[in-house]
Amino acid sequence: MAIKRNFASSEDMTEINISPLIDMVFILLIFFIVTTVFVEEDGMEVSRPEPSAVQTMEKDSINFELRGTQVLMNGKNIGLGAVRAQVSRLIQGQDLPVIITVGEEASAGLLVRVIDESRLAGAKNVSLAGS
Amino acid sequence: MKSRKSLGDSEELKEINISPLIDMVFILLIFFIVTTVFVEEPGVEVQKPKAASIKDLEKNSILIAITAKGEIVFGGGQIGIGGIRPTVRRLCAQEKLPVILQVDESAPGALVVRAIDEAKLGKARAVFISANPI
Repeated sequence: MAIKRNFASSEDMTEINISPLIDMVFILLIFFIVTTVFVEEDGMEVSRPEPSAVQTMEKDSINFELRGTQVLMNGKNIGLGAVRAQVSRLIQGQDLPVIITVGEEASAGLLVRVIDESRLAGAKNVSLAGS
Repeated sequence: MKSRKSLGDSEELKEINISPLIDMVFILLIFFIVTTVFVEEPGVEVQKPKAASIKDLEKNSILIAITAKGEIVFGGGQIGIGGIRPTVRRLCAQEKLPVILQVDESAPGALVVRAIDEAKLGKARAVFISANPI
């Protein structure tokens, strides 16, 4: 009856010593506090045109071209401010894709702003094409 | 000498009861374990573009930065345009993660398009461009 005797003798202790447990929990807590970073990333999704969309690129889509600081539509410089008006005029509830062709000189800031304006005008499908 | 007397009274307690403290520490521990995501940050400062049509992005994603000079930075080191595809493929091997591009406002647009292409070819679930609200 070794086990029984052990139980009997351990009953002399009134409490289990939990201080090592608490030490360990504190160390874990400090580790997680130190390593946690609360990254808040906001952003927009970007996509490339589907292969099928490239074939119908000419007629059933709205095309913009970025060249330097200019925004071109059908070869004419319309500027950033006119993007929203043009997209909302042409889209009219349909699900037309907007395709943005990015030239070498265009900056990423302009690209993001054109995508943003198209989205605000109601375009659901905005995709990018390299020059 | 009211305070003295109360000190004398408290000497009858042999130990301070620390179980509420331990409860609280456990709750904090669980909170930090649950909220921690180990994301590798690129480690460069970029001037993010501003946009209105933005949404909150998933925390657990691959962060790649493109600086104004056209450097592509991941995990504290430059990887170059050719390094995006193997990096994304390696990290997406087990679980498909989205890629977030932290693009500088004056980074070349053509490079951004190429980086999106490379990330897609590396089997990223989706590609996002990070932006600040207006």
